[in-house]
Amino acid sequence: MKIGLPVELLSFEWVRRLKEDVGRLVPDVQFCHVAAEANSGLQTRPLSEGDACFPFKKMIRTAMALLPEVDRLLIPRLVRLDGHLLCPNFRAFPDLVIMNRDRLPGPEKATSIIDTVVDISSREDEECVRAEVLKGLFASRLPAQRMAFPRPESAEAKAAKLSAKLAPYAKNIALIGRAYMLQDPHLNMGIPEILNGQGYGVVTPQDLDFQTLDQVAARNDYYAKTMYWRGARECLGAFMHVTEEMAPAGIIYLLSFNCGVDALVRIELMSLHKKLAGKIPMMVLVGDEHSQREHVVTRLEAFLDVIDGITTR
Amino acid sequence: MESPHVNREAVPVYLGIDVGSVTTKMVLLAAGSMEVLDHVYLRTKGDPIRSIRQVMERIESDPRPFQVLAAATTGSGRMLAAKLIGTDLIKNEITTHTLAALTIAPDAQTIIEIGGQDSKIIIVRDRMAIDFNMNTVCAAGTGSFLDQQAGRLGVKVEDMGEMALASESPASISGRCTVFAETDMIHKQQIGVGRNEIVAGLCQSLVRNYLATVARGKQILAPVVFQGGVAANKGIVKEFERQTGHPIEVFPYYGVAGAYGAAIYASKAQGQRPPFQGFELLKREFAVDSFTCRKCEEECTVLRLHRDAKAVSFWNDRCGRYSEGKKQGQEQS
Repeated sequence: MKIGLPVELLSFEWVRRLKEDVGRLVPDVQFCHVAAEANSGLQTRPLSEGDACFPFKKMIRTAMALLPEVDRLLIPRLVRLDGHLLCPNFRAFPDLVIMNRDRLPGPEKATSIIDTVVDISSREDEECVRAEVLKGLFASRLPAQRMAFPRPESAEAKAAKLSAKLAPYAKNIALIGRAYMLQDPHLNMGIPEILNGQGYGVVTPQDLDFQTLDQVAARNDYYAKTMYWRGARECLGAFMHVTEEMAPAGIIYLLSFNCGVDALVRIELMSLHKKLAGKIPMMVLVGDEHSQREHVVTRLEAFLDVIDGITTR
Repeated sequence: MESPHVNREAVPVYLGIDVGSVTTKMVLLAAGSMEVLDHVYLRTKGDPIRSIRQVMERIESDPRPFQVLAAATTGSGRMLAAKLIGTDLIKNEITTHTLAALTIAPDAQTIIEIGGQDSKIIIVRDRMAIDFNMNTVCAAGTGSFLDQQAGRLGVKVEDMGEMALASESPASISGRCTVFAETDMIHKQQIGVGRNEIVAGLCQSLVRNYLATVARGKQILAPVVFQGGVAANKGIVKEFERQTGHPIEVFPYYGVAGAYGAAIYASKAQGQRPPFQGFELLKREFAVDSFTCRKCEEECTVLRLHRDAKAVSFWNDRCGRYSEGKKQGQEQS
């Protein structure tokens, strides 16, 4: 069986564990994350995408392009992970794909979509969601769930990986943003590789243990400003963690769209940055469908010059 | 014809070239004294090779024979310019503008730069750039915007400053986007508002837009230095003073500040440099084209420089397949 799972969803650690789990339980299953070029027409035709950010629109197009190539399209309806809410667009994601699928003229219209609701705050929730996903994918030949759902990578294992990743570099830059931005070279406009090329290691929130970041972010929680969105907590916690524990040479906050949540995170990070009294240079970059790589390169070069204090030499 | 340089001793200089989207600028600095020996500001007109060639013609036709010790390029066309003149000193325009401003005004704390399509703010403390911002997708607060509106009003862009200063009651013009500004201007013209008032309103809206979308709440402290072609507009300067509450300083060479900064950068370069080849431009045919590499999903638009119809240089590929020759074969589609 071929299962389509849009590559953008793999930026969520839980989705990667789900894929691992399904692959273990049903070894003959084959996952597809991006469509072959032959179907790229489905990625460029006019679609109903709602008024959303570029990453979300891209994800819809990836899902649509996968339809003709797979037996099932797995696009979980992500509501909550690790006890924290996700951007509400993720709840509407399956609806938008279904709506666009139903308008297609060809046989891809018949591809079934598995849109299990994902609302996870505990291990029990994980097992329940897993059972629902398996039921959706393999209704007639449900595999025995002999093994527990894979656990997330431990904080120690993540720390060891990060240490190895940063080992070749003398200086590091914290690149803060949503997982789906930072793990997609098209959406992050190659910023990690540009920084690596300039001799800087790159630390992202996804390199760090989420439970640790969640605890750190909780120090900032109070009444009206509690960051209850998972992505926002991850960014806030990462900012606080790296500035307190890692002394990066600079911080870049990359966002795709000034939506309500990201606008709030931006203000919060700028406010925390002010308290650092200029000890660590920070830059905010907006990367969307209008961004040109040349513009990003110019800003990165200038930012590295600021870090290096080149104007005083 | 006899060369203008016969029997004259070569003058050692540093060269800075700033190739922007709308204009190309050049500055020649005397080695040692760092005095500006020549500078030029000309329209790129969508043909940067031609404008760089014009710059080199100007340098070669000067009665003083110049010996270029080092050259640096900046601006959005800096890579192409560097390939054409044969230099490895390539610097972004934020840094070169900072170098220029701090050379002329060492105490500057804020640098405002508004060019043809870019506008930027640079925050400086203790002679060091600590923060900056550039406009993103909107050109409403730039020189092109003023150019466009000058054309619509039937006035010269150079006259707009004086016209704005002559106005006693500037019209209210939206500066958020060129389309809305134009709509506002047409409406104001139709109801009989004078041109000076409209021009003054445009200056106000440009500064308002700049402060809202480029400065974005960054702390503007004096001394404030204003650079870029738009600094020629006295109406904009006055508006900046009014809206920021600080005196605005416009120094000589404000229009070529990027090139000036590039020349300063060139003067600081250490070590061996590749030989300067700028004058080759006058003797050989150069052209640039592009192709899309389809070796991976990035689909980079690779730029290619031809000298006498032969491809001699590549850039703009993310993986270095062409520019650094990392992989054999230079396939293209």
